[in-house]
Amino acid sequence: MDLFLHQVFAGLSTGGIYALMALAIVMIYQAIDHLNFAQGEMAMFSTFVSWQMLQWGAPYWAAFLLTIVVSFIGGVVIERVVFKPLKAAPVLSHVVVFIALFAILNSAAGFLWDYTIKSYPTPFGTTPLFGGLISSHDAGMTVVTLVILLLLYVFFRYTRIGLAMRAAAANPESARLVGIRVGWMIALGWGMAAAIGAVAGMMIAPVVFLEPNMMLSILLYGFAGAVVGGLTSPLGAVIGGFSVGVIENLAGTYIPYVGRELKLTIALALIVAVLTIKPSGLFGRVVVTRV
Amino acid sequence: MPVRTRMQWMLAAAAVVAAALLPLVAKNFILFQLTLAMVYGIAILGLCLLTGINGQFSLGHSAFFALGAYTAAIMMDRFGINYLWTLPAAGIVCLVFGFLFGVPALRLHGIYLALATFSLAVATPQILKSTPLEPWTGGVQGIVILKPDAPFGLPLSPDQWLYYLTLLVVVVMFGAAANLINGRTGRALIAIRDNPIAARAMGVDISLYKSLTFGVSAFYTGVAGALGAIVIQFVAPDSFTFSFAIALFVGLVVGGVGSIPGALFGGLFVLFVPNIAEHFSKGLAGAIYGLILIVVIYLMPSGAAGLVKLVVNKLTRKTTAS
Amino acid sequence: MSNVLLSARRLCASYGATRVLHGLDFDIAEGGVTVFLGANGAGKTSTLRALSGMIDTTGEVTFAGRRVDGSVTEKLARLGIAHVPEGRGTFSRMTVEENLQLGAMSRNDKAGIAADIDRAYGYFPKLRERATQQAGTLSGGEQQMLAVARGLMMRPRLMLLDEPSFGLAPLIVEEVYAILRRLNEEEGLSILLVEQNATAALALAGHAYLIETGEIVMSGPAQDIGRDENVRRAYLGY
Repeated sequence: MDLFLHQVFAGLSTGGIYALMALAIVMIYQAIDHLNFAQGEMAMFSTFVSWQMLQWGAPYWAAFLLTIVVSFIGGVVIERVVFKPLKAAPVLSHVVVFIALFAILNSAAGFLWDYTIKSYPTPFGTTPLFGGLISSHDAGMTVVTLVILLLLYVFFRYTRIGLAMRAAAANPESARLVGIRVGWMIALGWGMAAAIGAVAGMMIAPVVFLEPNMMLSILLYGFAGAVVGGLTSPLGAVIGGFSVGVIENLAGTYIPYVGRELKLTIALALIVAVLTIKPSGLFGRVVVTRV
Repeated sequence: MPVRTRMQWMLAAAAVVAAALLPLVAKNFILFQLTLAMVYGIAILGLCLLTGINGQFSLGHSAFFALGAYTAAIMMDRFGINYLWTLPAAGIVCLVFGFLFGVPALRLHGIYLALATFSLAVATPQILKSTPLEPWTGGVQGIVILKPDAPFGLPLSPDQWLYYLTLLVVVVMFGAAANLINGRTGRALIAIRDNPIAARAMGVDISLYKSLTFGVSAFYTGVAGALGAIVIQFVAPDSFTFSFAIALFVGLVVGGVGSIPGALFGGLFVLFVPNIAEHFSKGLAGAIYGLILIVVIYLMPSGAAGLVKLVVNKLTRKTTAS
Repeated sequence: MSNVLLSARRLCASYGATRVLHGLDFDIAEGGVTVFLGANGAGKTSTLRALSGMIDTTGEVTFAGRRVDGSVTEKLARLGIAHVPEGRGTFSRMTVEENLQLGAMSRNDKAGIAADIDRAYGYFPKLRERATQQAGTLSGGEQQMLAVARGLMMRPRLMLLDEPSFGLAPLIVEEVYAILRRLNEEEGLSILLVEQNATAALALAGHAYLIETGEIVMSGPAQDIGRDENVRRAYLGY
């Protein structure tokens, strides 16, 4: 029982990482109806940017906030410059551009900061809490995730711009008819997703260490979490992320033959299983199309 | 037959003749690369049948390529079977697996299907490396195959022979694909893509067709995998990572989704463009590749085939106006 | 002779390579109700979409004295053109009240918006009852009223309505038209509506145009159009 509890909490702590990533993914999916394959690389790049600021002597929270702002702007710029001209292109072409973005960011990061593993500080320390079940960093990371979730909820439900964004995503044509500048709403969505991704990266880097390929598997787990939760629900994404972490850890502990490599496969297999039972995810809205 | 289609068949025939004459002037290494490009083209054709015609979205075809490659390698290395038999065998093995995968995959659409297939691509190298399968797959080291000589003592180098063999397979399989599209099955598949509800209402058995399409698509990519294994003389788990699945997908879009000749262009793209990118800058090879992708999409949002169609439309409109 | 609020000259429109409007010339009077009649596919909806910048157009469109052809939809909405589209365009997953708030998205006066929401509920009491209900769960007639109310929230100078009677029972159509009459007479709202159901529209309108295959074939006071032999037989059923 002790081992089980330990593994559950270990799973929850990695799950926190996936949850944060999943949140960024869902954020952008809501805005643009696409999965952003470059989300992880954007987060990684942002984290490198903040690392660079720390190298130049900036205090942690200054670098943290500045990186969020820079990432937000970066997200908006990427949308306006790279994706806006693609409006008329078929869906699959969009996916290729996401892939291109992935390649560019990954390669640029390696070029600018090379591939040696760097350590990244955490503002929460690494003291073990609750008798060693979780570390203070994990707890801090979870708190950050929940705070972002809360801010998003308030933003979308209680602000005018949040309402406008929801409308633009739900029905762009009607949104235009009431005067909403849909293009800018999409750009805003990108900016927000980039900012959340930056936070994710800066929270994750202390655990997995900073290097250009750090987000690859996390992105996948993040997708898995987002999909399990249902791509239309930020809360679902967070719960999905935590679940994926726990499942992955328990699978690794209790199923034979599952070494480190196959853990990812097991997690993905479970995701596929969830999808065959409930295609819209656990919390997703089932869209009923009338014939 | 309308003029356009007749013109297309004539162009295709001319292209095949030109390709057949190439070994007379080209060096072995160029032939080797072109053979590989054709192999990728066949793999992409499999993806094209799935995505372009049936509207299903797969990011996992590297798995079928790997399955075909390993089938061929195991047959040749462990059982000493002649390489020619491995092609249909690989195809059939993948047909079955593709069909079986298609059955549950039916329940997923769009982005969810993409993720499920992507999971397949990610899982494949790990499964290939796994301990239970090692006696067959050779684990991380993989399997080495001998390059076959030309049959009947023909005066061809192995590279030339493989080039012609692949060309033959291309002609047969692309021709079959074209026939499929233009026939009744093709029309049913397109109907399913465009309006699944109406298709169902007209009595088309959607589930069967969808799974079959997956199977056929896997068949094509599996045969390509087998050919690839023979050409490269080597299979290893890390040759078939998800990057390969993404490369195939990129090849599909750049060639033109749903375009059969486009698949060959895609194959050339997959083979040569990463090399070009590395040529420009070793450190930023990935970034150059990404930039090339973006430029290509901007210039040809519907792929090479789309661009060709656009140009042809403009030209034929000019002739009808005058 | 009232002012011309919106005028179009040589208005052409296409969906891709297909031309659907072939050089329309028309004027919409300020404070009046104008109707475009025509059969299915005649080009009525395309005309409204052209005026809202939703499809490719050529030609001149002047609204309140300024040239607006080529403007994007959002800009035209902010200039004061409220388009109640085909199919109503309600935000079905949002509540009735949120739909109304969205109508006021281009405005900044909080107090004015709150007052207008109240006023909208005054015109459409049924909507007040359903304020927190998801708009997609409303009946056809209620959704039509919600669409009109949302348009009102924009404090528009001109309201474009695409087949407001579509799919509605005759009694509901009467209700909707009665409200449109009130809005026109009491608030001075200029209305351009497009209809297949000619009877109700002609009773409300001051001026009418008849469209056939993308061209205006008849134009005049609504009563005259309504009495025309051919129109009666083709569109009024007698």
